[in-house]
Amino acid sequence: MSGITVVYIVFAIVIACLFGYTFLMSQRQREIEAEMDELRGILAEKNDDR
Amino acid sequence: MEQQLSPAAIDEPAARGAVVAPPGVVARTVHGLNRYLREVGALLWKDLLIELRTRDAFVSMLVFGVLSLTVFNFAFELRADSVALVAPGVLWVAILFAGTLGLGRSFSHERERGSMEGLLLCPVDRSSIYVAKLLANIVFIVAAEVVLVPVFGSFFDVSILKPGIVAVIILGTIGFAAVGTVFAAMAVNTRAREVMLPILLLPILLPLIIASVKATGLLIDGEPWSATWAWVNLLIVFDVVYLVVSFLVFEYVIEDWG
Amino acid sequence: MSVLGRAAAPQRFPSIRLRPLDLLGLVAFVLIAVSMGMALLYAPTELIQGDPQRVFYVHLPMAIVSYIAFVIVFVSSILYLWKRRIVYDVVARSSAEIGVFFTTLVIISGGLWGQATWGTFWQWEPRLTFTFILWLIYVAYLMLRQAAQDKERVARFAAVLGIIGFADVPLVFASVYLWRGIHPEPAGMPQAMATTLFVSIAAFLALFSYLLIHRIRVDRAREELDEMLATVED
Repeated sequence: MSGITVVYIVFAIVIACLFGYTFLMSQRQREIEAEMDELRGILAEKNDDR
Repeated sequence: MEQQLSPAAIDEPAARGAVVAPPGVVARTVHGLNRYLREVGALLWKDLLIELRTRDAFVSMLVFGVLSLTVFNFAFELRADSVALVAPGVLWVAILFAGTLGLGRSFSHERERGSMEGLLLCPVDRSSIYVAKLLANIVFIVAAEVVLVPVFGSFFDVSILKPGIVAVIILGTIGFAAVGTVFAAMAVNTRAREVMLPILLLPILLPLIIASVKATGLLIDGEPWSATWAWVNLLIVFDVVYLVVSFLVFEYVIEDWG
Repeated sequence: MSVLGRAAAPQRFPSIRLRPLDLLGLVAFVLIAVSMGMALLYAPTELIQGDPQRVFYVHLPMAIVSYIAFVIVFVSSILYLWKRRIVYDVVARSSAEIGVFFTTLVIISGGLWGQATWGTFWQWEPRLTFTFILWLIYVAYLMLRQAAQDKERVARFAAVLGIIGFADVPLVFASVYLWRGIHPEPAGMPQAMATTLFVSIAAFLALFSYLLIHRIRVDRAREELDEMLATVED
């Protein structure tokens, strides 16, 4: 492995990791949001019952 | 430390004890310092007494240290042309492993018997708990080294008892114990206690390890002090930095125990 | 702030959808692409090392970014112990995670560059050693966060380690350089190299800000969620 190949490999790894990390965070966020929406719904229901 | 003793507390006869403090800032400072030293002394004496009665830490450190030396002897003898080449590293790894074992036990009484809660209720300055623990740990590690180092010297046929080497070992031990005491207090309050201490401690200690091994090696080879000075200097800086930083942060570690 | 009050105010939802932040992310990724393009096409080939030197245009900016991340961990650790606000802990843990992420990439890119230039992935070269020790310290930091039990204690212990760990950085630096001898830096580089480097540093700084802000927002949302869960259980 020499010359320009290593540069392509490194750039590919960096790009992949950056996208992966960003994607992971977006997913975490979506999960949290969904859970919060659900909770808000439950809370609102509880409140209506009272 | 002094500023936490409010002037009112000092003027109280109970806080003053038998000493009659003359008025003035200097007297107050001296008085505060005296009181602080007495607190540290009492706490240190408590730890030493426990150790004298149980010999928990000392025996396990010693046996483990000698064991490491034995294992290293067999691990290196087959390949290295001269064991003396790896000797400084072996000595320091044995000290660090044995010391980490001792540090790991240093808060076990506080943990198992819940005596830290009692200490935290005492009207003592929180940092004096750190200073006393640190001194106790230094005493224990040095006690183990007093046996380990000559054993190492004869196992690996290295003349180790030179004033320079002794100074390096003591400087290394102080820095090691300074960080180790804080991390031991943290690790004992986490889930994976035994694993957590070396994982926290060893990366932070790497500069100290590099400096101690280098300085010890140069001194064993009989290099002049001037060649070693840069490393000893680094050790001193490490010690000062970690004595100050650990002193400042320790009270945050113990503020909620158990 | 009551949870029910928030439920009645739907305008709180869009704040999580983060429009300006997405823009920052987009700009950061475009800048990264531009800098990589410049590294491949615009920057001249280095005379001694040849093409593998182009790795440097992502390697150095990522190293800079991870050092900045660890400075942020240090500062927010102090702020946490001082002010005891959970926000500072959120910032510290977010920054530590991103710092470890970038340090990992720095080590991988450095190793691959070494593979092409020296023929070995790993050399105990001062800069690599320094970065690797930093990586170990902050991996220990993340592990400590996993190992302590209650939340407040995790934050407190992590802050203590964030301070002690950062105090180690100059010592690690001094020791590894003393250990291997100081390597003189090649002075001066062609304008095109400097420009490329400048663009890629800017790109990674933008990306770092994006990731950090994003990560902080996610964690704060998690804190809110935990708070809500606690309310529901009551």
